[in-house]
Amino acid sequence: MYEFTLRFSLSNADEDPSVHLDALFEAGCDDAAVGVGKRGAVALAFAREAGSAEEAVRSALRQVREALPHACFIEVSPDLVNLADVADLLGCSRQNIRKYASGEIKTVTAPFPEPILGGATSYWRLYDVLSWLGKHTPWRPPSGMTELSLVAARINLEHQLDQLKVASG
Amino acid sequence: MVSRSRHPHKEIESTLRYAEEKGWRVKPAVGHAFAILVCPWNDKDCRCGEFCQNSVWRTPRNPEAHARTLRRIVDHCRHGDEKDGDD
Repeated sequence: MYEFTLRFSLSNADEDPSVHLDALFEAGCDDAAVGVGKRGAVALAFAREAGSAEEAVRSALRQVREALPHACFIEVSPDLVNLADVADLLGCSRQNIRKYASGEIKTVTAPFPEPILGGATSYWRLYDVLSWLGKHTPWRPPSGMTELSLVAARINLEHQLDQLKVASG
Repeated sequence: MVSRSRHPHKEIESTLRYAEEKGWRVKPAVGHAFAILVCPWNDKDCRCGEFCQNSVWRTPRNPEAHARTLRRIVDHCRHGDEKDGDD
């Protein structure tokens, strides 16, 4: 089962997204909890059974686009995460993850991956962290999560590149 | 005081009661949504964002998974219980 969230903006920034619930359900989003708490936006938290992470996410995107042809895709998560998010996803303590990130665990010689966004709160690509953990520590992410994080990263990057191309003319 | 109708699936109903104990409101709905689960704080600081209000399906594809997703949303609400703040 693949658990991921899709976020979209609606063409009308003032619109109450709950008017679209029936359309989303009928298009196949009956395995998602739909977040309708923000006008002009909609988020869908999926728990989808599928043969692969790619199939899970792409089928979900297709169904949302079918129900909401004028909505704009924003992002799929989990992708960019902070250490608290990683701890949450893995079901371990933040302290544990922080120790790996800071290099305190002396049995691990390979350096922790670089964050994508540094600063007071750094953000990593989840895929980078999960691959590193799989290779260098006893931690095993839940089944399918690494695969999902790679799919999410790819889709987000493709989308961002498209947006950049449009913006830069 | 539960004066609303119960959800037909016991796992989802139990999650709705859990949410209500934490202050969330179960707002009855029509159509495929049995209800909208509404966060009582629903403020700009709340990291729930879009998930300050959620659809609770009448006939979800997988009721247990739907209950788990809803419970996670409720548990993630920053105001629910004060955990340590941002990392």
